[in-house]
Amino acid sequence: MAQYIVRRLLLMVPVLVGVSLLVFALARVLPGDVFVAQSVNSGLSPEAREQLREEAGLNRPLPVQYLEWAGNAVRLDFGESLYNKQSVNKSLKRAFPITLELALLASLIGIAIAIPLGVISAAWQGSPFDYLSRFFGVLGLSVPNFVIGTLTISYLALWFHWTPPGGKTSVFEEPWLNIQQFVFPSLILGASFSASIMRMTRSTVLGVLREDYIRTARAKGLYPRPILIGHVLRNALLPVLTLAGTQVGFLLGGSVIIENIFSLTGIGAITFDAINNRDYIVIQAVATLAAFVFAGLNLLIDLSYAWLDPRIRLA
Amino acid sequence: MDRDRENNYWKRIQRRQLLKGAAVAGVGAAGLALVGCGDDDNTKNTPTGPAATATPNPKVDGIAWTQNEPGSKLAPKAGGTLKYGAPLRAATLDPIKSTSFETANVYTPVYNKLFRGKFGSEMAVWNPWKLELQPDLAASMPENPSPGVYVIKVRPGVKWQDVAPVSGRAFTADDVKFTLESYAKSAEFGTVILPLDKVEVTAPDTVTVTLKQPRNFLIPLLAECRVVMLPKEVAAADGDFSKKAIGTGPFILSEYTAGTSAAYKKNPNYHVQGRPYIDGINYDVYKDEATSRANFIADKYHIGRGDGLGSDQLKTISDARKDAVILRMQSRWQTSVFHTAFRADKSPGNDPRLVKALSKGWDRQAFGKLTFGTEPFNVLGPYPWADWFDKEPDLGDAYRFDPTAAKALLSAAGQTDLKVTFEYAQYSQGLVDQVQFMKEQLKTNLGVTLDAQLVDIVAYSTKLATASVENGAVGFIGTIPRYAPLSAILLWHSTSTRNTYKIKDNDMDAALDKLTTSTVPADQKQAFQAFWNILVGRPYITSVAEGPTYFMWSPKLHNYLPNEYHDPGGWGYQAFENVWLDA
Amino acid sequence: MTSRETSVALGFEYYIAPLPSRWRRSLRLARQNPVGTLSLVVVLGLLLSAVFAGQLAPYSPTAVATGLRLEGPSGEHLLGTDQLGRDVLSRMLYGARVSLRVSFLSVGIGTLAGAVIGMISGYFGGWLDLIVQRVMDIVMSIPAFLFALVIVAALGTSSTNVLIAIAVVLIPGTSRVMRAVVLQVRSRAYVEAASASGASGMRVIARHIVPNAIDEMLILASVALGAAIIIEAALSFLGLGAQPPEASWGKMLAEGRGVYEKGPHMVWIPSIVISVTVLAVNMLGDSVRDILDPKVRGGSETRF
Repeated sequence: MAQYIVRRLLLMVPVLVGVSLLVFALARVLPGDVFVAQSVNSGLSPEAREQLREEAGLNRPLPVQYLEWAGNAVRLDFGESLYNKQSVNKSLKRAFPITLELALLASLIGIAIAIPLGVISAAWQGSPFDYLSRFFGVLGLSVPNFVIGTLTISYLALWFHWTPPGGKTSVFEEPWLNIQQFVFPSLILGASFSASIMRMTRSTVLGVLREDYIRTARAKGLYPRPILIGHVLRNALLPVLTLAGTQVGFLLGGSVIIENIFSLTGIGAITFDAINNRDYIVIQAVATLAAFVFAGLNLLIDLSYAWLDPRIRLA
Repeated sequence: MDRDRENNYWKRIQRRQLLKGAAVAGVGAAGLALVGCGDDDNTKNTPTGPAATATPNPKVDGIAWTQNEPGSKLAPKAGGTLKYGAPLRAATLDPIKSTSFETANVYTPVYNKLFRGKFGSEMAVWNPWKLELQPDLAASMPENPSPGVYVIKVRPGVKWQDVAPVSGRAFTADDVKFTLESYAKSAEFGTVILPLDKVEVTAPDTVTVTLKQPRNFLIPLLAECRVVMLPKEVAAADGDFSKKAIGTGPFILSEYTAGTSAAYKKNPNYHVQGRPYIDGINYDVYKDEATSRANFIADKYHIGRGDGLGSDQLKTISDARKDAVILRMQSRWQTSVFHTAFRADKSPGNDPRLVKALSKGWDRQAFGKLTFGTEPFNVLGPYPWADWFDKEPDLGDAYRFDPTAAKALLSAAGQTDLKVTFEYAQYSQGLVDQVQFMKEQLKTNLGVTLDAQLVDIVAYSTKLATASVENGAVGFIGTIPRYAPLSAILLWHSTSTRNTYKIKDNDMDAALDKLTTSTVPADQKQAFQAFWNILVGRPYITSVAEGPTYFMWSPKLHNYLPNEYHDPGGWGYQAFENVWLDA
Repeated sequence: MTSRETSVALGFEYYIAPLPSRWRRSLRLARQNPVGTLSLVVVLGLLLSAVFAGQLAPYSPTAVATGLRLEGPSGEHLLGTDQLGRDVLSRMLYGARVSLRVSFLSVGIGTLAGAVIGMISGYFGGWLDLIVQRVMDIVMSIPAFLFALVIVAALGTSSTNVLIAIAVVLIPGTSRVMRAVVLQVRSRAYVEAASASGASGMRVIARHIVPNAIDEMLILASVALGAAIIIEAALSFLGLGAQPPEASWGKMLAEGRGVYEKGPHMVWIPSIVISVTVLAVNMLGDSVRDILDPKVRGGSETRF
């Protein structure tokens, strides 16, 4: 087991190096650079800009720039933002709780809706409830979250003169403000999130229900409900779990746009700003971290596979 | 009843202020009249208090209270935190390296200048477009013993903010020397606008500034939002002022996260006793027009601001916030000019007939009516003029919509099938709309194909700032520094590196030279008129239709009257040391 | 190829079983599948209206009408007018052109490119396979939307670049599935026999692999299409897609955000159209999958 984990972790290294190289290359292709971004509205003189480029080391050969960045990144130091001179670690640390809260709430809401809906839908296959929840599933996949977000924020303002509070709030210090800030974005993201999970839950539960051992259990006289809880869910959860894990990318992508609409200043907003500002250093950090989280989650999922299903042996 | 008493009070004050106001020099005469315009009673470190508050009346042209003209309360109250949305993208806080209004937005409450324009509420007759100079960190207006030589006395008893590494030491003449020399080292300041020969500390509280050549704009320059007094300790520690902002000003910057928020707390050792009234300021990042509007409606900000709101948007605001003060500044909030221009050294910009035809071929008035509804809008003209003309000048033939005449001009130039390219950036949806409108009208009215390329705002501003516009552009000219002659010489003089449209016009150069060196007010006025005539007659750049600027504020906020000379970017960040809040 | 890998590969949320199927039976199923048929009709209708936008649009999408700012729907303007008095219906029709062109082409190109890469990688194997698959690993571990965002920023904002970005994002998933199909088919006895009896590589690919892979690719493409429409709209919404005066649904929604007080229709019309389009495409995708995928075929999934 430990050997397996170490091997998987080692396998992550080339992927992370690849991601950072790829993003490094892409970022350097972006037209303009961060110091040009700063001269918006004739802010920086050309000399000052050149001097800043020089100071930031952007005039050095690209391989040197990359190696230096990678060297620091290995020590988990993502350097200083080119744009606002702040430590990237610090801004990520500041932004992370916001995105984490959004992602956690969205996943909780999503799973809380999806799994019961999916299971019931499969158990009463063909019933009106099944049709309704499946319609919800397709709808959730089809209505983009930025569409609901825009409608929500526009009509809340139009009808109730209400906007979600801006700025950074803490769950612990200002819980009420925090709830106001997160309730709509996490509901919206959660609803989109739940759609795919619900569909997956339903189809895997259906699949498991057709398996021989379920038939055997029913033949033995077990009632449908205990069968569902005892046997089906446990087996059906595996692919659902996988899917939920792979949706981290979806949540991060979703957070870029939802944070934009709801003026939240999380990782999504940082990423979007960094792209607009040509802040290479931040783009590299975010992409590499995202890849790391993605790979790490996949590992966790595989481990939990083994834990949930003893038949799977990790080698 | 309370209100009546106030009103009487204000009338009395106003009369007193008007009498005193006679001593105040206008900007046009600034260069010459400096010595005469010192307001001696301002040199003491005492607050002018509510007594200095001008009433909004009598009105200057172009200002209207569309809702709830503010009354003022007699006694200012201490306490409260002001909340506002601000563009907070500034990457560096260094006033020397970055003249961006976004940088200035952040540091303005922190620093003082040697001189300053009066806050709106200090003016005898409030005029948001007028520069009335008075000493700030200087003890009095300077002496000007010979052309290009200025003797400036430093205000006694001023301390730097008690923040390391400056840690509350006294502000001295040496600081003035250090600051001016630092600015002059920067190419942008040093060559054109601050040609410093030397700064000598002639007495512990006195500096003598000598310029290489006489410049009539030194004092307005030293009152500019961006020429602030800087402490040498910060430069010694960090190399520059990009990371820390520590000044002598009313507020201490306690937290700044670019792109997120800024927070200030009151400077307890501020040199004006009793100021600021409020305990602090919190800026939220300004995301976009719609969000900012919604935030004001939801009472999250004390101040709201909108450019070019249509009648429908304005109605939403006034319906939702019946209590709010809404101020409309119909014209001349001239921190910026939205313009369209083509490079003067190649086609079509090198042919005045074509440029004129392109300007006459689309209907600015129709666009304005379409976008702003029943709200007034303006075509401001190509450059700030408020300090130079008493009333709106005629913008000349180029602004008269006349497709027939435009077609005639095109065929006279032998260009009946003209194709032109320009670049623009999405400063606002309104500007994008206007470009689409222009494109459509030029096509239908003149058969001209306008290839308007929407480029990234970063790419766009680089081109503008480095004078590398390919063909033409539609967008924003930052009239920085604020004082028009200064920015004019930077932008349009043939020797300037920021001459974006490669204008090489001897008459223009001559007019600009005269405008910036002459010490005779009448000559300056004449020079500005000459410059103006060239800019509208030729016409190198033309302006587009712009809606008014709106400021709206909560009835809890008092003594807030914007003045553009104290504002880095038209956002109304000013005189916050002067405002107070109801609980 | 397991379902897990497929859904990981796509970054979307579908469960796809990998076995091929036969067309004839599927066509009969299509007749028994009213929802699928309805979605097909809607999608075809959208495609036709995009193609014939020029003929269908009552006005020019760029013609401004002074005095008609943000008028609600009326007989003159069925879907109202926008902030410049332009006809919203006409703009939506032309917008369909942009949105559908970008999404269909990007899915087409992405799937094709992914298929070719996967086929080469799977057929030739060895170090080539190894390198290609590691590159795909790398691309796949960056969240799709983030990656598309960076690509568009790097290439510049235009609908063509959005097309490229979506196509690139689709490649790794498709290539994985294709590779799996190739490996599976190659291991079958009759293919091994064909190879052994001297059939050329091209022949094996054409005779045995392509027919087996087509269903898989169709399923993938139909599933990716909805996502492509959403990504296109999202990028346009953020101002990174189609540029004015080109109308695009996402862009129109973003514009609506600034004028919702006077023109709420500017918000809800693009919202409904985007949602209905994606809905139709997704349900069509579901039906395609049901028809082509024998594992689900037995179930009621086909009847949705």
